[in-house]
Amino acid sequence: MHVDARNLENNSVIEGDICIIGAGAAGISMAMEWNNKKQKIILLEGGGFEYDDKVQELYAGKTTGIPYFPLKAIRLHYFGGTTGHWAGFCAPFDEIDFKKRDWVPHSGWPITRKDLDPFYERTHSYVDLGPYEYSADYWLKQIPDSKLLPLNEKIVWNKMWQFSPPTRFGKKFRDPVVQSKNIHLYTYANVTNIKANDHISTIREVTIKNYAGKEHIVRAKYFVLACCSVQNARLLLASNQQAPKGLGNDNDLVGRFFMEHLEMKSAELWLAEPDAMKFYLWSMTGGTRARAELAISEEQQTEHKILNGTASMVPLSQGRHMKPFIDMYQHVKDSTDFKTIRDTTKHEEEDKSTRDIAYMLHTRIEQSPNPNSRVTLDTEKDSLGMPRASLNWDLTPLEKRSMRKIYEIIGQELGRASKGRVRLLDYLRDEQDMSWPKSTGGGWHHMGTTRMSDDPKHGVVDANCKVYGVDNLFVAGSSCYVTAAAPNPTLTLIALTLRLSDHLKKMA
Amino acid sequence: MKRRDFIRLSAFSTALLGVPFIAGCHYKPGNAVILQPVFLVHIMDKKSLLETGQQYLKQVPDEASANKLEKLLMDNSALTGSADAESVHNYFSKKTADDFANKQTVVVDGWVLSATEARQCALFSLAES
Repeated sequence: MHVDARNLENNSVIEGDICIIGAGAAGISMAMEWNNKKQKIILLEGGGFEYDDKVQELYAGKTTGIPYFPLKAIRLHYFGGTTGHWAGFCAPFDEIDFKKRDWVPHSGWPITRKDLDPFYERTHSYVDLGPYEYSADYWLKQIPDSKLLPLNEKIVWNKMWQFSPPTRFGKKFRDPVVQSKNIHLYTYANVTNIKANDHISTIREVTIKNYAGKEHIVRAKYFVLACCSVQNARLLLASNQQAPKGLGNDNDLVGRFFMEHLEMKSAELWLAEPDAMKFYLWSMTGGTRARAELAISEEQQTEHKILNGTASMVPLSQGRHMKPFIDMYQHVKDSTDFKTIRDTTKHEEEDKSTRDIAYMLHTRIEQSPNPNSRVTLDTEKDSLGMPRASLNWDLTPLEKRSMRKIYEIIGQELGRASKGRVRLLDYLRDEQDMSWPKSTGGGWHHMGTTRMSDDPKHGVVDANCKVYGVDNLFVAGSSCYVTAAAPNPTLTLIALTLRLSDHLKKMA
Repeated sequence: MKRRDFIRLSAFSTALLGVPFIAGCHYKPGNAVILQPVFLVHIMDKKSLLETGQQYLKQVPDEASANKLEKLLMDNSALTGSADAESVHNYFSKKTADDFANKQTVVVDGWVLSATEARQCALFSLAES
């Protein structure tokens, strides 16, 4: 069922079994896992079903450090959340991403890739993907007339991505949620405060507000934060009337370790002979689109002590004219419609002389977990009286060294295979230069800020995503990530959410 | 670089042997094909080869001598000054591949190159000077 919280009598009290805060990919997935169960699920969404600028404005905040996208634009504040403009890229994390790596400070998840595998498979139906198959051999058979680069897979391997259509959760799940007998969706229900008992060991209720001036209370046995990294941290920090440092923040970890993917043009690939590289570009299979990106093996990452990252390809003439993501936003005042951003960057290939001969290699690489890259509270408050978020995005030399080394490794392998040569772009050529160019930008992927750990001194949540010190407060989604891995976060955040949901089912 | 500026190996060979600068330059290789990085001539124009060579010489000033470079390139090979172009081509082709296999690579002006082809570019730039 659906209720517009603007129309409720002021100071209503809403009660249920599980209260999910946020109706994006994580929140809706969690809710759907409980559909038709006996429990009453309260699903709170701060916006409505469509974009509303007054609501979106609640996400505005400050950014410092490495230039970043405006906070108002980075997540969508309506039912369906940021699936309203995501591009659909899906791939699971690698095994190494979960391991403790001695060259990556603060790495090491309390769970393994194997723990997530069954949930990855279940995630596929949520985002309308093909079978849970990510081997290059499988997709080679699906994509006609395609072939692999003849590389040593113990050094450079082909990591597969599948592409969701992209599934817009707001469209796909609106009717199932609204028509559900046990999921109670409240729109225009912005949570502004979380209140615990006197010992701050159990959450009693949350306060919801909207710009119609209404304020209500929601009570439940269990609460799940599902607003993504910036807003999850913001809400915990702002709920500080009982715990001055914020809820779950006894060890000053909430908001820290904000991570992005660096997504940047990085090198050119020049081939000896023309090759359309079909397997590495967006290919239709008649069903799901898929493509390979060049990835660096675990052995090579360990030997060279570098981060995990991949290189994708676009034809060089397109790549040369692509604006950096950080500049793309500047061209469009409001990112309400991500399609607008994509449309403003469309162009025809201008130089056909390099067709099939040269490609731009584009990096997607994890950021090293960095406690100084963090979300804090600003002094300014939004129209509902909640302190705004302030993001300081910070990087380390490891990111740049890793990017350079990735292309050296790829260049060596392509040279060994007599296939081509790689040329690093300017900003990667000087080994001693650890500065970041103006084109530095992320992929609009927000991870960390309530990281997992087996030790409360090193994490906000435990291996089951429960906030340390609070019996009934959980966090769903990518804010729990310990490391960022190479792939886009959506598939993994939904998988992690489904795992949390199964855990809650054992408790409920 | 534009593809129309690429100089194919056969054309390059012909051009090189016919180019007046060879007659006038200070360095005369035992075999002119030594100056032709096997792979790079397919993707680089003459200007790019020269720039790459000059950059390599800046990076490795110890090798800024035509005789030294030729010695490093010929490296106990059985090739003589009268070896045919194909033999020299095959020798450098294998040497380049071996460099990559053994990670004997260097980054020059952003290019990830084998040591051999970087030296060939360097030698070419000395021959041109």
